[in-house]
Amino acid sequence: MEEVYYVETQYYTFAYPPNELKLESGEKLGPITLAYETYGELNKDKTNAILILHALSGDAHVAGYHKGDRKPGWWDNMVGPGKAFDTNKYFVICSNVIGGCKGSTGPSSINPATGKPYGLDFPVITIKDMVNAQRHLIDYLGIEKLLCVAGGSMGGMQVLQWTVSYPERVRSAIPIATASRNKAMQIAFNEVGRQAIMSDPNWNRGDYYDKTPPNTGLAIARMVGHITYLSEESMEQKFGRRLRQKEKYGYDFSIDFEVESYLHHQGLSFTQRFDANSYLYITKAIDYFDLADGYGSLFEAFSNSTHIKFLVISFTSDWLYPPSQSKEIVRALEANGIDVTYREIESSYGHDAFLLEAEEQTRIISSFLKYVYEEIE
Amino acid sequence: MRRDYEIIRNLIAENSKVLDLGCGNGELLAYLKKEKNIKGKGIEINGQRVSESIARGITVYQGDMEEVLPEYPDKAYDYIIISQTLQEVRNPELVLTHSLRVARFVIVSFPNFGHWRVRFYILCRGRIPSSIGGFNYTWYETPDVHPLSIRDFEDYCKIKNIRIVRAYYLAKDKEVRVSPNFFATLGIYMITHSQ
Repeated sequence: MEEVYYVETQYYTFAYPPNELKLESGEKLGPITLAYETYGELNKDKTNAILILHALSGDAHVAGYHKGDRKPGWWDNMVGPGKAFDTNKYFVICSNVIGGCKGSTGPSSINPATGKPYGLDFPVITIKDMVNAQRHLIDYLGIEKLLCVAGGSMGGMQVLQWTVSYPERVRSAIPIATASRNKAMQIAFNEVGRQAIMSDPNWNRGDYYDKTPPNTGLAIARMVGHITYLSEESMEQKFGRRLRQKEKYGYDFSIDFEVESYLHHQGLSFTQRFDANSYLYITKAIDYFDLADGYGSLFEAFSNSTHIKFLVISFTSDWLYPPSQSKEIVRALEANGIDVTYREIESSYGHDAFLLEAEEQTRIISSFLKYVYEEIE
Repeated sequence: MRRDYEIIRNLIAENSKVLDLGCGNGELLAYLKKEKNIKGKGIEINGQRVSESIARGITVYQGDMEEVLPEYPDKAYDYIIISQTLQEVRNPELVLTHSLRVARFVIVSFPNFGHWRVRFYILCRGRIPSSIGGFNYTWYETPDVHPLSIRDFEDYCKIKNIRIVRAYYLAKDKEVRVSPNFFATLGIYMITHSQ
């Protein structure tokens, strides 16, 4: 029987006025609180720290259990004692992004200027801003150089941004199921989600924290998003044309198919755990993401990252962030002579594969980390 | 260690940059890393073999060499190794041409389909050889879509102005001195652009 691993969320507040964090938009944000969790022990030389970055709807709770919870963290199959990110060996950190709603400063936090939730007064943030905020946390934890930065989807974007913004702070990087820039189709899906939220009368231009929140809009946004995380094959396997608790069609617009019921459930349960404004801000950050921006090309962007070892992972059935976009990253790294391994894992799970394909990812990530760690020991 | 790997090891200089096309489970690169302290990289299309290479600490790209090789810059590597892979690729000409551009030296090994057993098998039985010597596949299963002989390869080098720096001929791990195209099961070459 596996031992239950208990963990508590911690908080770090910084960027107090007048030293606010300067954002990419030119605006300032402060004070900023980051919610984070740590697992394992930092070694004496502080060389075994791994930063894990979460995706759109993730949080700092990557693994283990909070006291009283029945479900573990979002990547518990990958992070823990003896797992891919082995907490017996490594000190694992995961922080909630700014703009989020899981303990870090975001649109639902209290604006010190007004004493009320920010709502739309919260400045628009970018992936680069998220990473800049995390760097303050890594400074605070006293870590000069991270053994590895790792994450999937939007987490992978943060990984790439770390290697470009702070190459001297990173030894190795594992971007998974991600891209160096959001392309038209990805922006399009995010915009549908945002429009669903903003068309909900309860949204009220983001001012709803003392009223009923725009749950219908948020649920629809999640339904659209969730479709993009699956694949044609995995949906066919899971639902097919099966009907939901009925023998024949209803010939009305109630729920007929299992897949409809599943999406409704996903949408509804998401409204219990996520803030609609955070959804707007974070999807916007993803849409603005273009690693090459300001460098001329992706090749130029990586020109100071030549000492970093990369493991780039993609999944065959991921059509949201397809292997072709991972290969673009690999080409730009290779052109810089950077040590990069690329693995395209066969999976039918679509984009969600990075959360589900634990066995194959464990095999390659644990080996990759072992060799990176051996080099410095 | 396999005799052909030992020969390849002896051809390679210490601390050099090596690209192994079709690196399989990474065994050869791991061996060269240990023996010659090379900076190695593999390309392999089979996912499970890529994972095995990663488990050996090898840097590897999962994909099609014919797709990525043309994108590599000139003289990016000291050596490219094409170990018993050339006969399996769709376009050997493209692979050889780009290998000679990307690396200073290319080390090629392949099973010799000019071996006497192959000749007699076809002559006597009228069938494509399988289950003899190094030729293990039936015609409908074989990955060897471009079978070639030692004479074929050496003629090719002559026509294309490719310089053969070294040539080794093996049969059952022993070197063959006479009539290699008749007696050898494996040819190993180090080639470069003649200058």
